[in-house]
Amino acid sequence: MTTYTRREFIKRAALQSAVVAAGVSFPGIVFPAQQSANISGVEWKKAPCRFCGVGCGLLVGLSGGRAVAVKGDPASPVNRGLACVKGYHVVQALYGRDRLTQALVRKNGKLVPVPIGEALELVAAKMKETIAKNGKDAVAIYGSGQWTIPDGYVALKLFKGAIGTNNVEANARLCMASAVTGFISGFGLDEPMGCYEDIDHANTFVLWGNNMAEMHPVLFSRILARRRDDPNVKIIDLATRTTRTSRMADHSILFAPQTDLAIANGVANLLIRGGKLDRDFIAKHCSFKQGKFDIGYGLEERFKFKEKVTDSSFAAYKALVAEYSPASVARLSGVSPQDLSYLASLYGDPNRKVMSLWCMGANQHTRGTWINNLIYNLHLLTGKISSPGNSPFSLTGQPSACGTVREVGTLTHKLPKGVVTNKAHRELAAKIWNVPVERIPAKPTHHTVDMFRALDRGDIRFVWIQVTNPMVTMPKLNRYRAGAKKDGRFVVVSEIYPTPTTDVADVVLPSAMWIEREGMFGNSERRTQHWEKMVEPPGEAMSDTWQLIEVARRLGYEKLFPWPRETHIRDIWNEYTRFHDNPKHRMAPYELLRERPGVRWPFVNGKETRWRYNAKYDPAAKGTSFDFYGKPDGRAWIWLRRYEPPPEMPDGEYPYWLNTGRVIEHWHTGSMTRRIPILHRAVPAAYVEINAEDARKLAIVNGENVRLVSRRGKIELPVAIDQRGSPPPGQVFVPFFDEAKLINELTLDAYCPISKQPDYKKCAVRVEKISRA
Amino acid sequence: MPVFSYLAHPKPGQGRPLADRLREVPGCEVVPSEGYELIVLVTETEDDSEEKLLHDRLNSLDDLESLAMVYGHDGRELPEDQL
Repeated sequence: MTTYTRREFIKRAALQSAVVAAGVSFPGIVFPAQQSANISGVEWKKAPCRFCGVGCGLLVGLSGGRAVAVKGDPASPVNRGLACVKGYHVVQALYGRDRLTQALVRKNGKLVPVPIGEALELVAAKMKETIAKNGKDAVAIYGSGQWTIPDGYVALKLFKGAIGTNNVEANARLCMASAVTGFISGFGLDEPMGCYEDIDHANTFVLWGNNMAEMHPVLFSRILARRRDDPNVKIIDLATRTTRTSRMADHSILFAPQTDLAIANGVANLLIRGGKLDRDFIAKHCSFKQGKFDIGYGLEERFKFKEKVTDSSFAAYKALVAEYSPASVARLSGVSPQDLSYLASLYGDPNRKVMSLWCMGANQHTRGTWINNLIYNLHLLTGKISSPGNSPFSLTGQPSACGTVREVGTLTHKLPKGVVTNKAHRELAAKIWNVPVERIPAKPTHHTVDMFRALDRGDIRFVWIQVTNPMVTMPKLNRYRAGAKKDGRFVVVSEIYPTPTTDVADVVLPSAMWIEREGMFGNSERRTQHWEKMVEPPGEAMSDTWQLIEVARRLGYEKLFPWPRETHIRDIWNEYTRFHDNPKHRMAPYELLRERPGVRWPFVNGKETRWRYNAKYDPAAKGTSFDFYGKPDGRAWIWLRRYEPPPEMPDGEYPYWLNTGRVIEHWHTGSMTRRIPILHRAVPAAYVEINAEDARKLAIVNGENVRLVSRRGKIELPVAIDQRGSPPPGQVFVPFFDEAKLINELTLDAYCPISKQPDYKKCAVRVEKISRA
Repeated sequence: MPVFSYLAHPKPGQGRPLADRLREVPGCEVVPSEGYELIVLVTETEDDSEEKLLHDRLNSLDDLESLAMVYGHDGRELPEDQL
């Protein structure tokens, strides 16, 4: 066995990264010395990247029991050998100095190490005690779109099938829930109808509120490469602030927050007035529906909302969108009539194949379901859907928000197939899980914001948090952090590093990370990707799946979780995929996932379904053209939705919009990326972007500290003027990766009443000058 | 112990001279492509001041068109309060 010093393996990693980058960026250029299959002593194995929802395929270089290098997997159709700055450094996230290796239990106010067996016993005992004293609905689990598929499946089975509570939620409620309700309300089934191959066919890319250059960089690289190869390609960036994406787009259109609703209706209005509809498509494949208006914002403690759907008509729809004339849209949004006409001309041009792409700007929105519907409306009105290049594409943030949270169903109302309110769906779950159907409750309990409100109130007394950091990410954070720390609450946190969430834990379980355990993720384009265990986890760290199984067995559910450790991932996959055994969702067999760089579902007769609902490509679609089989009428639903303002807007006391988000270098709350030295040094701390003219009026210079104040909290941050992002006047932007600067102490816990997803993009703050940095 | 890797683009036709010049710079490992269209450069220095000297030297090379960093490890231990 070859051994390397640390210095040698860093140099090897540096060299190989550069050779691969050269090979991908400059096809045809060859480095003869590096063309041998492997550097001596380094073995390469495939895995999807740990970070975002693009799901890049990577090859991890292993030597001496450690992950020493990463390269993009040339065999992956997703990224074709490319990776982004986070992906190229991902293996370093395994080796932070303060990696959790032992279980910790809080004794006399301090977390002390204990053997993991003791910690698991305590977790099971506390669950039993809480259930006995307060009932089944007093225990809850809060997981993540970074859960592997087996993690989520076991959690769901334990809580819904074994214990019998619907208190299962995941942080994808905070990122993708509006995308889900957009899909379900429009098409009856979740997840995109298209795939990444649409990029190779489209010649028009409209980005709705998504800084794709930083958030989905490898996919954006594919779009840029498409434009390089075809001068007819246009990239339009619709955003509330100027970003790196804006600067690379052909046309950047800035709009006032929340007014994307008006813009979408305004485009629809122009399509109708200009005769640019595909009337045949609409007549054969669409229905018009209306829901409630004035639906609230979820701010009340026990807020409830129930949608009411009524049949509508093209005439009613035409009358509604007619209110969104170019002049009225301009007054509301700041988007000029010329720009609105330009957008309509792109969508309405029969020679243009249009891909709309969106993510958090549309989803983290108090009318997130509505804006998702309205973007789909544009594609349905023009018939530009479910065919190569014509693709409304909802991008996913996390690596397995699709694969785990949405497909496994780790949300209060969901099951792996269907919903808890549907008797047939409960019966299927009961049959596969071998439990009495009465044990699976028919009523959802708490969505995420409501779950943490319930913890604060004491309706929930025990919560197990895995692979997520809610004590950084919950909006209106002060309330929910205080709630978690109240007497009579028991918080278990499964983590890889200390975080503000482990700070409030009663028990911390050390988790195995990514390639330290076998697993699967599911990315934005319905691609399930498998990886094998490649390195040992440190100390007593254990996969989240196995932690759950260990506790389940201690609770007396051995028969429901019988799988041997050696084969449990395969066994779980085989059980889970029984839920999806039909042509609309069939998943690939385990053995195929091991071989290939991912397989897209539905996987039918040995083939991936690339475009759903189109009989030419989708074996589940009946007839010869389109079949939106998710809806009882076989049609896609065009929704009548309107502009409604957010609950909190700038005013005299708080005159600025606050927008929050990410930067390319950091993943979410930074618990991994801030421990990768080069990424940490690139962006070491949070800051507040402010418009240059606003800064001048406030007599603030770049780098100066200011105080941001909202009705909920305040924070001091250094100012960034015209750095990577530039908000327009009256707006500020703060990234949320810095646990020393908890911007969510200022945000508002208003949410879309349909999806229950909070809006992190809009609340009101004021900016106070403090002193020079 | 900073370690970085770069793609070094030579000015047109200057690939071989550039590779020769780079080999003369202390702390550089030079891996040219077969046709010298592009050079992979791996640099290794002891500390920031040495890194700066290296960069000054690289910036003085007339045959060098551009340098694109691919991988970086600056070798610093993070202070406890930044973990």
